[in-house]
Amino acid sequence: MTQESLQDDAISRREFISRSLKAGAALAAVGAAGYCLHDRNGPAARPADSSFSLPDFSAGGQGGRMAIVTGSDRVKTVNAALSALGGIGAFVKKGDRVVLKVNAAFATSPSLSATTHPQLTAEVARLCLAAGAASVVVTDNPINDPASCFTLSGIEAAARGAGAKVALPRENSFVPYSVPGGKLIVRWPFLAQPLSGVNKIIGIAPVKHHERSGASMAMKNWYGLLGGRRNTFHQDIHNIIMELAMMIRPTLVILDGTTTMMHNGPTGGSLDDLAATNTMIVSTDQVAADAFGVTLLGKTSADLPYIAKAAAAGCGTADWQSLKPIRAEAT
Amino acid sequence: MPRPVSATSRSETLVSLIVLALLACIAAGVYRQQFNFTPWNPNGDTSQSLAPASDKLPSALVAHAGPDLAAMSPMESFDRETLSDKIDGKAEFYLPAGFLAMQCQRFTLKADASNWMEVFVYDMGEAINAFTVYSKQRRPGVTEVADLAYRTPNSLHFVHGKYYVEIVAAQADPAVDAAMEGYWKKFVADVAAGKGGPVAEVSLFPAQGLRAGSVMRTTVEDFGIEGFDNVFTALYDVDGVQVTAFLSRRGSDKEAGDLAAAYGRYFVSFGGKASATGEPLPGATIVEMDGIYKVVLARGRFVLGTHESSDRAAAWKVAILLNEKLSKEKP
Repeated sequence: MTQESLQDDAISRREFISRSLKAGAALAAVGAAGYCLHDRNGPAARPADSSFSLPDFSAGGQGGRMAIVTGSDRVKTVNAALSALGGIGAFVKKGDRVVLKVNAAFATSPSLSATTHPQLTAEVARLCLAAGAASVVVTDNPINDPASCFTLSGIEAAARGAGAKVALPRENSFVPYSVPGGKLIVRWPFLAQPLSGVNKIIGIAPVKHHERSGASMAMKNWYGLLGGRRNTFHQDIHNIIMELAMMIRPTLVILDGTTTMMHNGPTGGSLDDLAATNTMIVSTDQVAADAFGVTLLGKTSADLPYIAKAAAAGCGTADWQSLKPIRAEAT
Repeated sequence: MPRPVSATSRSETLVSLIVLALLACIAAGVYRQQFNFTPWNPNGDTSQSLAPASDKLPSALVAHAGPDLAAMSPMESFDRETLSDKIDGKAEFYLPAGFLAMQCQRFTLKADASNWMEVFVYDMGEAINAFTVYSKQRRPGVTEVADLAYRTPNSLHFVHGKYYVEIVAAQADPAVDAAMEGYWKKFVADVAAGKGGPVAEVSLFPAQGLRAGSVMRTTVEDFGIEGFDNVFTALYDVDGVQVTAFLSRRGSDKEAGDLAAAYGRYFVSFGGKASATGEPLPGATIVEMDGIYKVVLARGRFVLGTHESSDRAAAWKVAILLNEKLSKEKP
């Protein structure tokens, strides 16, 4: 190194002090900013309640109504059941924005009846659009990978074929939500994005045995609107189903008992787990629908504590016969 | 003359500006992101379900697939914490039975991509646990294809050592039947069975009148008697009457005797009428309750008897047969 180069790198005392002061000031500023921004309480474990709330989706003036139609053809039975209740137009009006909450929980074939049947999904979507619905969105937050579930269950293709949109859950689809009066669903991730701006919601679920709760039907179907580690709710299964019923006041529930999963639910897996029970239930009262649906499993509503709990919570009636259901046969 | 020390080159200035711009971008990003609330994963921890859950399971499931199969999805792994992410409430069936880990994967037929099946391999830790979940889910009226293996129209279920395996096809089809069978045989050939040999209690039930494939291991909840676990049951057909026989190997003769007494007391506490018996079953008790007869006795370390029969003579006959068979066994 030459003397000249050393001289090039040299700084004056004034320059040294000036630079040191600037560096010190910068460090002090960063430290002060960090001190000011430091959150001494740390992040909250759960978010504060958001302003998100769910409207009452029920069709005005309908009260508790129910139709039970027997037959093996889902398209015929659901049409007959809706006709018995005054037609889809009694529930879905022109311009309505409708969500069809299906059970797409598993990536299984529709033949196993672990998920809502695609044919039924398509027909209900078609009817809603024919009634003048501005939009029909089919959604669920499945147990398994959403894309596989909607594809392999046949629901996605059926829904799109009927003109409906399919909303798969994404990370930003959820907002924290608390069920008014609930003890379990408190600041819990809720699948809100597909329900944004929606004024009608129709639940479409198959009738299935469920290892933990005894049965999975219309009320349990709302479980697919929750996110997070929701499996923890299985430890208090009857109360969580009651709160699910408290969470959603549906326009309609459609309980598909055309084929019932009698054993090994909710996944099933064998065609031997299924029985042809040839029944379609459409009701404005989700508790009544389940109370009747459980009979297809050879049980009574007394076997499922969540039915009485939901009735006591004001979500509907366990005495489905009190609704004087309209019965019909669709051949 | 030396260059002024405060001078900076244009390149230094440019680099400094770029660094400052980057810092400004990061600061803006942090500021913006803080308004997007994501303190907890709103849709569960799906990464867990895709990570290897256990080193106890056999190697990649694709290794056992025949040349007629192609992988349709990546292999998924689940442990005790995440099993419900795949099978929802059905997890409550496996967990108390000793479940450790599960791997699953979907395969398609190379000749027909629409024809697919899913393989589920449950590591139950011990052969006796694998037998428990196999026997309790066994569908009635199915086709036995081997010892501890049966098939239904669309599925194949078997036990291989500590593994309980289900192969579920999307539809009943001869081509996929052959693929399922091929997978089963290759799996058994490839995979070490692990801890535990054949379940000895299965062979302790006398063959006369035994309904094929009806031996089942129950859990404590099934009998409702505290501490009465590890119970094997079997169905017998005796002179047109169905009888449920049971046996349970206990830790000592005294424990067997105490449990046999507890069994009798339990049903008497619910209104049953007990009566002592003589030869050839000295020490046995018959309890009649609502027209159903139960026989119980202790024989060495075993508690045995008949649990349900509408015919006293049939219940007695099966209990004698069971006692005779156990008397020939080494203690």
